[in-house]
Amino acid sequence: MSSVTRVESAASVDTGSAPASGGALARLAAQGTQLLGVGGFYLILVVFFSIKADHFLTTSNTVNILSNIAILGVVSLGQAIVLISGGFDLSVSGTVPLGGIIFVELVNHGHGIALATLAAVGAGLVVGVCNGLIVTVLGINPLITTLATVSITGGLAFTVSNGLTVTLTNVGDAPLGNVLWGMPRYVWTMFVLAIIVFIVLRYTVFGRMLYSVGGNREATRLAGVPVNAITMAVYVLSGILSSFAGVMLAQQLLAGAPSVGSTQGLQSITAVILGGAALTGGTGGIPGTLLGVLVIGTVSNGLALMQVPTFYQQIATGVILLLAVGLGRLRGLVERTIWARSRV
Amino acid sequence: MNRKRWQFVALAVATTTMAACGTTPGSSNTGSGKSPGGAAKALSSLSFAYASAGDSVGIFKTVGDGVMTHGTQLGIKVKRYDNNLDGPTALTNAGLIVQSKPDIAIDWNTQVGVGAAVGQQFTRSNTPCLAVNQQIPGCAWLNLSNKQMGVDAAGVILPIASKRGWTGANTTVVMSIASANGVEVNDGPRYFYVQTANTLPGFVKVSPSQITASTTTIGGTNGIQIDCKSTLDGAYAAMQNVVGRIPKSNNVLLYGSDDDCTLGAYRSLKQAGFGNRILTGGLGADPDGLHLLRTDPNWVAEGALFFQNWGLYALSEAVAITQGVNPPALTAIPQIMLTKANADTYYDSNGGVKSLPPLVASNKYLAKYNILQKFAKVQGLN
Repeated sequence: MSSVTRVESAASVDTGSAPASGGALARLAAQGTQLLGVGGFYLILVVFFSIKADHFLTTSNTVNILSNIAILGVVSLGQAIVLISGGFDLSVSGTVPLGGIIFVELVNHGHGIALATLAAVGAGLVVGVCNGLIVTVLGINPLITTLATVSITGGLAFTVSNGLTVTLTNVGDAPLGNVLWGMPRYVWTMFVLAIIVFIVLRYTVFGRMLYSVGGNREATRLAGVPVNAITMAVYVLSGILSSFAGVMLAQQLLAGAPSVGSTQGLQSITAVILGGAALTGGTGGIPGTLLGVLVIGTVSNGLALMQVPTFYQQIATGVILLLAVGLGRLRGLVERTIWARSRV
Repeated sequence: MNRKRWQFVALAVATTTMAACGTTPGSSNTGSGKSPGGAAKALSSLSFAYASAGDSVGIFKTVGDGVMTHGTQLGIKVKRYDNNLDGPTALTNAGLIVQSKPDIAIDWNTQVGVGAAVGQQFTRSNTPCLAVNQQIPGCAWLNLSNKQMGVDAAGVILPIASKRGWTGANTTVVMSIASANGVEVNDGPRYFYVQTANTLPGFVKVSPSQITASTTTIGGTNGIQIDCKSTLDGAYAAMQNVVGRIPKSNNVLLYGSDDDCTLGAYRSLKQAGFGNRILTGGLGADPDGLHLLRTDPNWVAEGALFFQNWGLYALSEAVAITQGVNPPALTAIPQIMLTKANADTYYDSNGGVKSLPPLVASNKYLAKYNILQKFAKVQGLN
């Protein structure tokens, strides 16, 4: 515990919440400006699409949106952990299809669902260990490292499946696709995993260390925190979550394909950044990340329901994401101004 | 100066006329003419260059492996290149091919935009060339007809829909297209809609050219077009986004530009509760498509393209060109619309090809080179 105390004194720790000693005014300001940020932007989106797009504000469409974002949501949880620690993980784009293919191939060959899931997750773990070792031991930049491993894992997925889509021969092998309380189980799985990661980040020593490593790696190291072990753990967690997302995707589609999930790397980074994280590390959180994922999914859904042609959708999506990030930054600016005034 | 100009014009007219005669489909020279002095060469004296679309993709690798294996067995020296699904790489490879001076370059370039530049490399160096799948200006062309696939799929699916009383009033056609892949690749789904509108009552009729990549809806809920982005998960996500627009009591006719585009949308529709009110067909005869055709009552058609044998057709046409033949503008690759009744005639239970459909007018000339017969069972040839 003493090392944790030293960490907090050595490095600035920002968990996305209002400063503890900022007083009631600062907390109120933080909450108010949060509404002006991505959260407020999301509400504006919902109101806009509710007016403009038929069938948008319905229960079934809400389930559709949540079904669509479940996989990205789980991948983004891992990406959030990596980004908070100051890293990057593009390899998820290869780990997702690899996990899915391994799962489908194994269950199709008569292995149990649990074993197939474990094997898929194990593959993600190995990818994470490789990423972690390369980043910590060899000291290669995470961007370069994971760019290389995305190529390797993606290639492996193509090799295992011979480049073809493999369907699940028995639909019963996809229990996560079954509906529970009105939604597919993989949506609930995303929420459960999000709660677990949220608790780990906010209430555990590991979580605090993570923010500290991302905030100031050198100061954290000098404070006695095993930063290399933390970094390694971060990539392992990301690998595990993304390969499990691959298993979820395979159960959603009742098939595994090497070409699926290719956009997950950049989309998950976008979601985490939208949710308030910084590419430099040390900030961000799970509620924000889920909000970022929701923005991406809702924009895609709303534009499709508005019958916006696909090429225009790409342009509109880019503009909307820039607006969301812009409003998030505006929120930060207002927060800092109010915080500074409260100290005078 | 004037005389030179007239000589040039005369030469240009003569060249254009000769080229037009040689490349017009159905012309009398098609597939039979020999260039002056085009004496037949022994296969063992030939050297081919083959640029694969991208060996990281299983289907493309399968075609490439076929070209290499069968080419080697025929005694032809074949050098392989990998365009890696990338335009600049295709252009670099074209330069390398030209340097190696093969008797013919067989090039599968997936990037339409650089086709002209690739073709220029070959024509400037007088390297005969054969484009596979995507057209390359200046090269002979070997390809399937996506339009025909759409028409044939409609031919299988619509009679079943008609028997069930499906009309424009209670049915939605979903077209799952890969918008970034160009118009021709997406001909299947749009011709499927056109055929549907012309066959079943109550659909808004449109011409094929009216259905573009920007089309999202036709006639309210008569037709809905989604962009599958050529992937299974892309198709699923796109369908999930618009599935709420289809009235819950409607029937759905679904056709996509490939098996993944169809399957992803199909999964979404099934999960949305359309159950057995879906009729669909795939394209590609991938193992998953064949499996669904044999086992799923809603999956009633599957366009077979016999990728495993494309190499044989490419080698046959390449040999024909080196022997001085002017091939037709488009030489057809074998294709047929499989049904539950005829699937076993063409494919075994493991997805292996049992037999190929008979040759058609545009590829009949390939039989002369005895390559197809040697390695495959083509109906009407063996």
